[in-house]
Amino acid sequence: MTSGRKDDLDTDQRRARESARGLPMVPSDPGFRERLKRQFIERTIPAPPRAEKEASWFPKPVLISIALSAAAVIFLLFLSVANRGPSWEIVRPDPGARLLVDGEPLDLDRADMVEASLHSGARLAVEGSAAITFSCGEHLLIQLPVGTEITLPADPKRWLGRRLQTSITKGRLRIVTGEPFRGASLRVRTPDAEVEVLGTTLAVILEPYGTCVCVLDGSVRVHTESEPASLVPEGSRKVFYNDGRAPLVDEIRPDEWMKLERLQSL
Amino acid sequence: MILTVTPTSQSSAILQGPGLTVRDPGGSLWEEFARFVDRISKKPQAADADSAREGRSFPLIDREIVEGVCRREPEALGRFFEHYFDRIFGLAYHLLGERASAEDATQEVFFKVLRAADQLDPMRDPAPWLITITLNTCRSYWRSAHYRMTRRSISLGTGPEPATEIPDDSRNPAEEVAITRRQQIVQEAIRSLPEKLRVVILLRDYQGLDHKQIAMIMDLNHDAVRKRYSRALVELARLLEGKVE
Repeated sequence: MTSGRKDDLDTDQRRARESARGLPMVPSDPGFRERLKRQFIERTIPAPPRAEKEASWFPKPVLISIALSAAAVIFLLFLSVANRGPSWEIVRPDPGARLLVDGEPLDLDRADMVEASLHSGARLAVEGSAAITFSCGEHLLIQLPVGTEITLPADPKRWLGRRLQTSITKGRLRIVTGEPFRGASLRVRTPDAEVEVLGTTLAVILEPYGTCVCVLDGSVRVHTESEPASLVPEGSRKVFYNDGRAPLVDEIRPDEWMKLERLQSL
Repeated sequence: MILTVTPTSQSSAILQGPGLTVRDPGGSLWEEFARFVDRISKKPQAADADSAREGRSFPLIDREIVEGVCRREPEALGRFFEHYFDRIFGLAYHLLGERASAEDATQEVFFKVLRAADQLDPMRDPAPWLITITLNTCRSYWRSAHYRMTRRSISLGTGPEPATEIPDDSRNPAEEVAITRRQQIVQEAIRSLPEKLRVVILLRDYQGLDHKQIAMIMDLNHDAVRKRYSRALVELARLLEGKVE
């Protein structure tokens, strides 16, 4: 059977071992010792305070902050993807139509260029011989007759960012909203008025004498600097003059009525 | 304990050990062996060859005291306390490095003993169990934020609290100072060891446990304990180099 193992420590290690063996028995405080002994015999030692939670490598508040930040980032990413609405497209461009985007002509046959160019805030100007109709999914349809210049509104998002705006600097803008547009709004700014589209088919026309709002369906709220907000009911038009005259309310213009009907059918 | 068995034939052998030689003429080898074991069991045993303790050893507690502790008899509790207090407090002190924490840890150990008193086995030495409780209690102190703060303030201060022996009247003051200084250096070195190495050195050389007992307490195998102890000695030797003779 086995024999004793040889002690193969060197001198330093042997010295270290002897040093450890030479550690003194530690005298305790007599008061503490007597008190503890009494409590042990009487079985009255108090329970130790609840153990501190094991210190984690990371303090808990830091972990919580990191987790919350990560969750917020993931949520925002999800939101930005899921909240995305349809993008702007051109509906059946007429060969005679010409479009300038931010002053540059756009090849309407190149779908990829069209998609890349139609961004929120882009300055659109229609030239040539035909109007151009833009659609944003089922949400919005806008038609720019020749000679119209507008800034393109953002695409209407699914949940957030559904307050859109555009401005007309020249010509006229025809607008049709679809069922998904419900709950969103589109503000159309002209030099004379601000038209709030709530879900309707209308035309906003910039005339030399002012702004004319023709409403086919639904209703539109319009206000100016001098006039409080007022509704323009369907089937009517309201003209806001730029010379201070009181606004005119009348039947919808027949030519606009027809064009809006045609646009609605797209 | 080394026993040597020398076969003399296919069916007999000579059994030899310290104070024992047994030849088997075909009779009661095992009865003789049993009597031998019974005789040596009355003495403190070394569990294996390389655990022969040259350093500190602690007497075993009487079985009757442990039985009394199981019944929570006051007198047995008092004697149990006196038997183990110094050992537990000393171990806690050297593991934690300062008196206040050692007192808290010791109190917690005795609280746990009281709570589990009826589960003690009078047939077994409770020392390894007590040491395990002490070690686990000290580990939870190591992990506590309060302890870490305390250690930091001590390390920024004057160094470890000296744990000195009761002065020996036979030594002159110069010798006392030298011994105290040496003990401080050793204590500081042991405290500087990583926790795993510190534990094995204290259990082996301060508590006088053998590798097998340490293996049980630390939930390691025998070889792992031996290797860890060797590493601990190497590291301690490095820390003490040039500081103690």
